[in-house]
Amino acid sequence: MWAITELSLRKMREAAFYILVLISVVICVMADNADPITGQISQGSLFSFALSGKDIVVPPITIGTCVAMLFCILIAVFYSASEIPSDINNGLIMIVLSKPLGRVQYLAGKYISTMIMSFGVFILIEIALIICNRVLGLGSTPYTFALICRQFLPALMLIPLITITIAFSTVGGSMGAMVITVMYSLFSLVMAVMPLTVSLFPDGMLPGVDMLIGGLRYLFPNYLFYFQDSINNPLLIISLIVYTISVAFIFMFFTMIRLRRMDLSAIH
Amino acid sequence: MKKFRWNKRSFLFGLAFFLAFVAFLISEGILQANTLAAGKKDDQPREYARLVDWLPKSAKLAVEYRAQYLDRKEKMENARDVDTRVEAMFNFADYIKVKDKKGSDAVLAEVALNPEYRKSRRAYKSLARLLLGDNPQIALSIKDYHQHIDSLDWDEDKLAAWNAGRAQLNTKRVAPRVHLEYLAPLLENKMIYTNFDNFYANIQTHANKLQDEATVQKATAVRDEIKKARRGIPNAIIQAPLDFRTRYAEYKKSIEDAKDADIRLSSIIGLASLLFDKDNGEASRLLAAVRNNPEYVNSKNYYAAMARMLLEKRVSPQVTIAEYHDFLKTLKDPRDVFMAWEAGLGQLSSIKASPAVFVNYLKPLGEQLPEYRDYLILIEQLQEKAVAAKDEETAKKAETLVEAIKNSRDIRPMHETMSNRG
Repeated sequence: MWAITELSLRKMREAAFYILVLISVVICVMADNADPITGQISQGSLFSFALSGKDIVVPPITIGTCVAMLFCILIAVFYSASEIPSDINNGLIMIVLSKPLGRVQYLAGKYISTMIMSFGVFILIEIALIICNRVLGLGSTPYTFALICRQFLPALMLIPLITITIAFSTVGGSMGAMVITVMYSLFSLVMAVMPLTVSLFPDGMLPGVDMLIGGLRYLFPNYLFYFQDSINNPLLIISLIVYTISVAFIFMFFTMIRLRRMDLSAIH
Repeated sequence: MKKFRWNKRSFLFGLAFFLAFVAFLISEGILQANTLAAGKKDDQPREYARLVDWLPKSAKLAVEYRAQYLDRKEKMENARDVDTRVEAMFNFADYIKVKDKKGSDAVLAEVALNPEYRKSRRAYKSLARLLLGDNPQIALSIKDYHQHIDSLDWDEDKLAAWNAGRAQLNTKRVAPRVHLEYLAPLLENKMIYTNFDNFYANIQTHANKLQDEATVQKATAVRDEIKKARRGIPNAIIQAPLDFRTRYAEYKKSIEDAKDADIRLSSIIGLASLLFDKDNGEASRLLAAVRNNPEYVNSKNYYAAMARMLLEKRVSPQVTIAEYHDFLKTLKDPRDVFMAWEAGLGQLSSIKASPAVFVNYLKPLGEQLPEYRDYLILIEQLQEKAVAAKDEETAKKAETLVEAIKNSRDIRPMHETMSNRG
């Protein structure tokens, strides 16, 4: 499994990747001068209810972190979408699976490598943000210990996102996985705010819609949870971690089934 | 395609999937409940259009209207009492009056035609709208409206009703004669409050237009009286929640019906507490009348009245800490003494006294070991406040006492000692 991880990470050692990381760091540091995300949302809007919570005072998610998340999502989706299809295309998967190695280990190796890379980039950017804030005095919000801890909560969303993209890559190939993941994530965002929207309106505003949404929302991961200020007590943080792991596991399970049943030499 | 067969491995995978799915459902449920808690309804009016900001303006307006319509309708249907319902009915009728005049008229008429609704304190809003109006179901004359105002018990309600009626007449652009007809009862039943001064100014204006010198002079005389009296209905009472007067009336009744001094005193304290910040004068009079009153001095809960007056700026004369300490010395039952200490502490917390004041109040407790363990909490408070007030000597004494109480087996809780004594 670690050999697969190492192999995948070695493939990523490209000049373009390093340039992308460098550009990400610069952009994030520059963007960090803007007000935190909750400060940018007007009171009474849907996102103020969705993100800020009621009378909750927690360290905010900085804009630097938000931009860092965008880059990490981009990297995570790109690499997780292309890892397995490229192994199938160049026949590497057949060579790897002919060794004494199960498909579970192969898959785990792929997950771990993509996660190491995505989280690695995120941590690198965060370190750059902290250094620029503490040493150079850049950024609108001082990076206290509590604020630094808070920045890592949104990064948890990379775990389900990677597993989802890998699952789709076994269905639609690398390009298909990227397109499906983007579409699915957009639907997920809509579905994430729908229950709240319905609850904010009086009863009877949209008859029957709440029931429909109540059922449909289980088909989409809720990325909103990772950005909410109200997730600030141990129960909710533990729930978020359990949610992240369970969503990731469910999609990993589907990937496993798909990998067992698909013809690994079919795509050429 | 390979045929699926259950084996140990697939069973373990299935079990793991099932557990993951259960974990997903539970964690999602918790997180979703937390998200929805942010959207729970409060009493604040909500701008629904802002929730759907991305929609075109016309769609936003339609959403806003529909949501406000349903919101007001829901409030009307779910009202707990008649007053709340009548108020909600007016709010609903007022909101739909442009788009659904017929529906609005029907709701307003219902208030006027239903005797139970018409008696409500909040019916004046709907009745004022019907005053000299064009509602096909009911037309209300000025005389009818005067009858309703007369039926109101509270002066703040009368003030609001007079205001609502005048606003309706202004909308109708009636002649000065009609204005005078409307305001005439105020000359008979004088309302000597500064809040009513502008009604008498209106009488002067309209009477001047009609060259009715006698009415002008009457109004001027009342205005002079108002100036002399310098009495007004406090804004806090005018803006008080609907249940304020209900609770006020309940306390008044329980004071009248009280069978003994203890019950009466409890009601007086309750009423005074209700009146604080609304009518401090009446609250102060109520509590001051209790102090040193032979009828209440021996009451079980006299300490509560004394505690309520402790350093209370809204009461005149207030009870000083020294006076309260003297009062504590007069109590004989240890339970009463402890409760009085606690009540005093509660009062100091409610007036947000400084740590030094707390120390001054609790200092006698830091002088010697208490008889009962219950006092531990008070002495801990003394220690905490003394530290905050930088009174090192008292803090040290309190700390020693706290340690001594915690380590002593002889200092027992009051209820144990009392039950042992029988």
